[in-house]
Amino acid sequence: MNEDASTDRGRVETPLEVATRAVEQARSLKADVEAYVQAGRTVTIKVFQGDIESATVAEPRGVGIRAVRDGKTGYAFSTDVSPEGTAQVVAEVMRCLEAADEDKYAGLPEGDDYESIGDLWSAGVIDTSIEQKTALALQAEEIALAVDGVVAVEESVYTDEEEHVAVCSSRGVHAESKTSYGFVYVVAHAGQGTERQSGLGFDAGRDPSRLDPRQAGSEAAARANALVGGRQCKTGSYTVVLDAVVVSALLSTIVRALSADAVLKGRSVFEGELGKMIASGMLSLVDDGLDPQGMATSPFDGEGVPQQRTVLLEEGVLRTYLYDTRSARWQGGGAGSTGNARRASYRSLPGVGSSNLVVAKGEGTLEEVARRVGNGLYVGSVAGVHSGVNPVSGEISLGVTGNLISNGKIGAPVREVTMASDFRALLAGVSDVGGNTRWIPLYGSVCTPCVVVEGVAVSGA
Amino acid sequence: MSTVLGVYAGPSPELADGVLARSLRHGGDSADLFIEHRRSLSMRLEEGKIENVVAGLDLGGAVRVMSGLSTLFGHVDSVDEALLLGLAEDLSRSRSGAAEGVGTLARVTSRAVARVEKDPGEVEYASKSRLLHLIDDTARSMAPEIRQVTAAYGEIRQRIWVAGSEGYLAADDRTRVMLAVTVMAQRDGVIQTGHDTLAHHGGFEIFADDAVVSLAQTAASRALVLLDGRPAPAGRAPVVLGNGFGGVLFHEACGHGLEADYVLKKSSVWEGKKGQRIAGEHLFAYDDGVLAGAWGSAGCDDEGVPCQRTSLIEAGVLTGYLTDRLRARMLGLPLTGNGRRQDYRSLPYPRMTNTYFGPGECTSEEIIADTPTGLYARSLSGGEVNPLTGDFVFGVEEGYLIENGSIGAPVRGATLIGNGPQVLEGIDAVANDLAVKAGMCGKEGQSVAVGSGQPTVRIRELTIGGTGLA
Repeated sequence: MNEDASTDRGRVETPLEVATRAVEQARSLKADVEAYVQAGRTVTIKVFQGDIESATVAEPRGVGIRAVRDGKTGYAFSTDVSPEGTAQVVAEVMRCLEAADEDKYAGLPEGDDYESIGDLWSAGVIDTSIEQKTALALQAEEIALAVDGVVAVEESVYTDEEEHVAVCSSRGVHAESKTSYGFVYVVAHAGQGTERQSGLGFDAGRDPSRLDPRQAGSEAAARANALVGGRQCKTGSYTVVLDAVVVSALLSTIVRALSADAVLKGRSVFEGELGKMIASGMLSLVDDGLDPQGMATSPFDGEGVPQQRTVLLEEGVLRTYLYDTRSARWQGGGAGSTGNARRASYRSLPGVGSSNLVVAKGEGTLEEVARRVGNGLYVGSVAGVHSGVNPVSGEISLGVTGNLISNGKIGAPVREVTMASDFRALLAGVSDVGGNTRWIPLYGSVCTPCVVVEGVAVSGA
Repeated sequence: MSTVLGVYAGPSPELADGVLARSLRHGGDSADLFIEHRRSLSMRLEEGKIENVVAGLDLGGAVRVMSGLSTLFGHVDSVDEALLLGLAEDLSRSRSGAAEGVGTLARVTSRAVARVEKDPGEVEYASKSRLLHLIDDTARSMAPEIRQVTAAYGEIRQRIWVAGSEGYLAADDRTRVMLAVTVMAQRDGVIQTGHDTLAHHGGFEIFADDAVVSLAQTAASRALVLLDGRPAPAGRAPVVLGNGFGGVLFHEACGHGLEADYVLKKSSVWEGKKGQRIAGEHLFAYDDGVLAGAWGSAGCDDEGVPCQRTSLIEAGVLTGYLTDRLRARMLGLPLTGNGRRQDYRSLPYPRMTNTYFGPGECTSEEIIADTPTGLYARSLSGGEVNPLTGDFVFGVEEGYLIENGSIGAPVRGATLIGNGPQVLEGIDAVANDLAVKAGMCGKEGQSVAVGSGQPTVRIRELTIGGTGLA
């Protein structure tokens, strides 16, 4: 597939040019106006049994416009970024604005300087050919299949994305960024008949050349093999060792209760807990919007406010909530945005969300942590995060697979069991933290080691 | 009163023909062109105020070239002829065979599955915001413990056109509207939530005031009941699953595993089991893409295949799989109209439309009376399955203990976990109160509208993931 075919079809406006023009077109509306423009290029290659199953190449783009007047906010978006297209969006956004109710905290942030961050974009994402990208997926598949016990690879996928974002507003925001990200993942099967089990392995980075297909392939194989022969364990209270992947799934939901928007609207179990100990002293957590390795890193957030490094938990003590411009105004008392206005895409308004969550590391590999624990349950993966973790009530009940830990060794595989807890009990129950951190882009962006929690209810046989 | 965003009449047959011919210029088994025009509007109320009003336009096209099991795919955020032809050209260039012909494009007529009596695009924004305020007022008036109400209105008018080199040109026009409510109640530091939705494939006519009031009351009652809930038990017990949302059971325990892409890759526990007995004789199950007004219904699927009602389990015997064009061809299975995609940016996959168990003969009261102890899960939230192992989970939103054959104390949210084949065999009672509810299903990173339903059923034994350790 030819990746460069579009470049000879005339010059395309940059996102910053589109955003600037859109704000200009809205000048007559007497409203504060902000335009958010995304343009990118994405490649996804799936391989199966040594062949390409599907190859996708696209250059998606679009524009979203927010307007605020007399405390009312409207939003409209379109895939049409031409001058006619943005003119239509400008007209539609005012109709939306008129249908909204007045909100005294509504408003756009003032323009602010932001520092650029090196290394968020890597030329390799463009320079690497489709054939080389395909080869990464093929290698990952081959490596998984070569491992003893592996009977099939369900899919092996290479995917990358290059994204240009621009935010401009009538309040002086004028920001643009360019990022790249690549990801390779494999789902391997091990075992026979009804004992067949699957495992996921992955590697991620900003440049295809930094992706390691061996890591993805061998992790998938190891995870599938480790579960073959799994049975329900006994119902009871367990010391659980949560794999980094599981920690990332739980933290990315728990942190929704640390959004100032949730707290101010009474939707958080952590309301009124600033400065208090809400977690074990073993746990320190930072929302780091600036770490060059994080997938959510950008110089500025979804409304153009500089991103920052925000300490959430310091040895278990809650230091702050996360804010966007509106929630900071509502909070008052000198609170400012922490640069946590996040957007799924140009199709949605910004809302408070975490950027990269980074857990402070402790000591030791997973095996060493298991040795320290002695007896318990290693939780390798969870199922049902959307239905089983309630960010408002704080209740957690998830399907898990993993292995029993006995006499310090990770052993007998376990399947078809659940673990249940709640945000407070889980955070307070942390008794140990591993030393091998890993960036996990599966549930938001989280960098964490494995974490040990005492007294978790496990339901099984 | 329709939105000022974009007007589009669809691609001409000449353009479709040109794109398909160009995409097969250097070989390939078949190709298709998919064009989508989607206008959407959403409104969200929280803190008693309409906070967000968002209108949008998605207009774009996608081209796919297939050769054996291998697919090349590209999409553009435009319906500009030169861009679509250019995309076809790019895709064809990576092949090196001889040109393949394109069949004469015959129009496929798709049956209307819904009558839109009141086009939501013609309804004033103020009428929509009034409904959200009605929900807020109704829920807040129910009890002082109601602390927060989040209500959302959504409408989508999606028109699609799909043309394939085998010689078809199909179009469909889908209007979907939804009201979703989450109510939060708080007492003595305990927070509980209750949720409900009212949605269909059709127009604004479903939002009669009494239906909207009842929606708000249901969500608020759920949150209030759970304030008195005790922790759910941990361990194995008989489970009675309520009608409507209980249909998440079939969706997760069986439905996904019948999607032919998993079957083709031998990644499904149901692969090779067609014609075999997998449940009791009282069990029937369907995927019904033409159920009038149902959320997951459509005239045709996103590959131009007319939607239909497909029997999946007949008197306990597995009778079929759900296919898209590619997997039907590879497996030699019939087309079932299940080739669905989130939008033009995504490849089609076999996906469920509306799935449900057929009704039985007893009443739900009789089933509960016949259950000495267990859990009654009246309403479920979503779930997840590993199609390979058949192990699945789903969340209980509103649950009660069953004690001495009657409904007892409410219990707080818990996940139920089981294994598809075992649980299907374990269904030992089916009531006569079939209902189908609206939801969203995620797969391959794509979200599509599905209906899930069932009458009340009982499962002999299931693992309940509570914190209540005996």
